Amino acid sequence: MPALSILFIRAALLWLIVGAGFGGVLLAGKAGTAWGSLGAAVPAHAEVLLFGWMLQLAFGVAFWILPRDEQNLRPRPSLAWSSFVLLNAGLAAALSSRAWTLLGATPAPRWILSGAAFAFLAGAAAFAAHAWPRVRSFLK
Amino acid sequence: MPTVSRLFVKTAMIYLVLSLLAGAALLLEEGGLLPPATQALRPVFYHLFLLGWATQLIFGVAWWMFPPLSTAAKRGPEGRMLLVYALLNLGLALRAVAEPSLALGLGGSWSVALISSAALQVAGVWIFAVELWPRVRATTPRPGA
Repeated sequence: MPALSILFIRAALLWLIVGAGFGGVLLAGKAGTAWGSLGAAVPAHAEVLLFGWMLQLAFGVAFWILPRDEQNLRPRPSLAWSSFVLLNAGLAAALSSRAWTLLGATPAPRWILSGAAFAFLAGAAAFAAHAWPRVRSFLK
Repeated sequence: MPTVSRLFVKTAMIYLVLSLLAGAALLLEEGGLLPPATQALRPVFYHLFLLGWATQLIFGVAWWMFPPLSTAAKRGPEGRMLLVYALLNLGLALRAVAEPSLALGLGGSWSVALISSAALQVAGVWIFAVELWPRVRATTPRPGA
């Protein structure tokens, strides 16, 4: 398993731990516990588990197992590395924005969540650009 | 495929069907064919699909396919993965009943059931993450190494 896949998958496992813990608190909140007011944080729970866990796990495994080029190399790895940085930076920004709004007296500045959205989009596009030529027959 | 992976993958398929049944009920409600109370199933639909189907499928396949710990230890202790399987599915099943019951105002002991289901699901997921962590590694030991 290459170093970037190890990074992607371990980051995915860390986000899974965070997202599941967060989900547990939100679910317990529905039972009327003191955490019930955290319901506004449901979008953060979804972002952590969809982008942090599932998407990064898929990218990590894809980087590892998709067919390599004629020189037995993974082409343009910098695009996949950029994707790792952008996805995790996007998640950090999105969570900061949600936490600011949830815990602070004023809503978070819109540019933080906009930046997160741009980072998710750019990260996904970078990985797609990396993986596109690797989606081919093993026999070539 | 190891026994525990087969358990995860087959159970995931059952959850796929159950989640789409819940999804179908939600669509029928939107079409006016089922009462509005059906909307109480919405969070259950999301979690049966994403946790029961997708995540459980990932757990089963990852346990099967990721590099072994070593030639001797192979995939690691299967008993702990059976514990993950039990915690996750008991928690999810409990949630599938308790969450709509509470949403419909039945209250009472369903609150305790929902908190228990949260603890069971979180424990199952956390144990899985800890168990898989050392198998996310660079080298695959060769036979006899």
